Amino acid sequence: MELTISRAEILAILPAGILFITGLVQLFADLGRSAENKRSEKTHLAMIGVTGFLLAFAALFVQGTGASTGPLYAGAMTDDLFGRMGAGVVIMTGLFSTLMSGSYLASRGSNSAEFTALISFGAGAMALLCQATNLVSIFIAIETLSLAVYVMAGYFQNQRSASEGAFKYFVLGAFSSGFLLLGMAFIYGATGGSLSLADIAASDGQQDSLFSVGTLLVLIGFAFKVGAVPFHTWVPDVYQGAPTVAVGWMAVAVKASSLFCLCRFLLFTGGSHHLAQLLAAISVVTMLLGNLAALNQQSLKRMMAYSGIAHTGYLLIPLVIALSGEGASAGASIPFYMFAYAATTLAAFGVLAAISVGSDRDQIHDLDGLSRSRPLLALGFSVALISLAGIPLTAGFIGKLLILSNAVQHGYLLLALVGIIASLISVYFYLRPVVSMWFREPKSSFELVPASWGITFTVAVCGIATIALGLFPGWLIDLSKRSVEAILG
Amino acid sequence: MSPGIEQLFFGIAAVVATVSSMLVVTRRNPIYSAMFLIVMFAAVSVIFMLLDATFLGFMQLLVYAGAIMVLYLFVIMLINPREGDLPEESGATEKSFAAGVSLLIFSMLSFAISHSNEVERLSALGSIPLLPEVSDSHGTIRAFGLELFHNHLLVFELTSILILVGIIGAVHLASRRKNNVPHNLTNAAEGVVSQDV
Repeated sequence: MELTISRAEILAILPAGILFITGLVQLFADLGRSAENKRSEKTHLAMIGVTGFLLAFAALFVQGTGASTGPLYAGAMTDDLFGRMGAGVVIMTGLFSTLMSGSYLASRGSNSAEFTALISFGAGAMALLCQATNLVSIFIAIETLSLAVYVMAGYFQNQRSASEGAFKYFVLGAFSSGFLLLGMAFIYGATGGSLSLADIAASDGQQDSLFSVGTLLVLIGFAFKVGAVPFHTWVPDVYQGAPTVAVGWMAVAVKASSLFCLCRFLLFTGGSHHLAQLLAAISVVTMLLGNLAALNQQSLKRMMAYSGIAHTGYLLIPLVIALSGEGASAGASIPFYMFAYAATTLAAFGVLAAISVGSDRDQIHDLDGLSRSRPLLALGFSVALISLAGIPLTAGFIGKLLILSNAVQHGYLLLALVGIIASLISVYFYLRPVVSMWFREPKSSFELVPASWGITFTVAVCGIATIALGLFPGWLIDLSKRSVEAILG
Repeated sequence: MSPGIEQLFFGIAAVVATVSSMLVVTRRNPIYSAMFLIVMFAAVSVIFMLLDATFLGFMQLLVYAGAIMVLYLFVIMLINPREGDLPEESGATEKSFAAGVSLLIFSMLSFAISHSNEVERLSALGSIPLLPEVSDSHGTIRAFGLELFHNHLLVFELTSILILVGIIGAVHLASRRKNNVPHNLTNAAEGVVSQDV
């Protein structure tokens, strides 16, 4: 037997490979640091990171929008439009988070290469997860990104809240990985030893009771990773304890890669009505609980955490349709929604990072009168919140519209109705910070360190992207549809 | 090995593995838990060997029961938990809740296994280890290596990133309270370290 690697295989691994190398370069570039060094901004690390992410993004364009290459690396991964779009979301999120990190971490006195390197390594694993097509590669990619995110949650080692969040996340995460692995073992057994998704889809073991239980356990594992109720308890603690610039990355990139992978998995293994009903129930509870719990939060980060849970609920709707095996095309709303959610969330966390540079400001009343002192930040945050609430002319509105209209088309009226009610509830708490920014008097003690250019740039670009996707969604919707069609070939 | 003896060995190993893993969870002293975990690993390695996965069985013994468990025991002895440091015994409601959830999962899994066509098909073929398609080289180092470096090359390489991320994370999280103590607290910091860690 001879070991050969084809050109397509090298091209497929290129984005993830570039990100892994970037992480290594960042680690080496920061060798021999001193204590003082941790307070400096270290633009060279951010620049290495940005270069790496841009190269990885360029690699996606080299791969282009062409057809799927079929199974690569003996079925471990594939290179199709769907995976590339997932990698695109992950890479853009990592790019902006790296850009924002410098001044925020320097003000906390803990700016070290671990932060940027973990983002790069994690992003590489996430990009691979979006393209993974066999159970082993899915599991290893999930574990790699999870480890990076666990450390990120506890990045401020000396903060009690960070350690608490990270510890909860780690213990529960390890537990959920157990479920995932057991589920995969059951699927492997039920399908007569198939690892790759295509073999699993082709095998006749899909009606087996072992297979259903396996899929259920895999769903539980993923539900934990994306923070769906009742596996959401870690989310608020982790969001509160983690560095604000990393929360945007954790929220979007983990959710995006897990959902892309889960969508691919369900399109291959779907067809179970009982499991679809169970997932629909999870989706309903997640939407309602996320939005209701967010109503009463005073901390902005906790509010965003519950908002993230609620958005997971919306994103589960297309998966319910995919799982029931009725409409593969329903998955098309996921890539679009994730792009919209990424732009919106990054803008929001950029503003949160900007107001918490040099302090621990995190309450809604800390925003009072922000429109006078920092009109650009206030505008960016308002756009982000309006988009998260799903108000027209924004990307968030189009995303929700796609998901809910898909649900109606496939006869899931109840899901669509709950989605609309949940969105209406959410308008209340999303508008509270907006009111406080534009209609309240600024507090006398309000002192704001000027935001670094990285944060300002991120908020501006992501804010504009949110509006632009809301006004001209056509091309991205088109691309999303084509990408889902490409999965099944 | 004749099927009868194989069944016997499997039965013994399975009972030992189940009982010892229950003991791992129920012992309060972590040293005892670790010891029973070693017993459990040994029993699982017997099951691997009965499945003709010789290499995996030996790795289970060497790596898990040997290296990793020694590390566990070192950590436990370093922390050296005394009676007062052990966590409070959880209340009856928590215990019954945990038992209920475990029972639910157990009944679900056993229902799935007992109603599975695939399991029925395999048991009709004879005992599971006697699958007809297993060749002589199955489970050897050579077969394992070929499988690893051909069919699972990508995953193998990705695992190295996984381990690297783990190392970076462990180093970062363990380096608490070194560099980022504010200057006016430097003198007091020494005392804080030993209390808080």
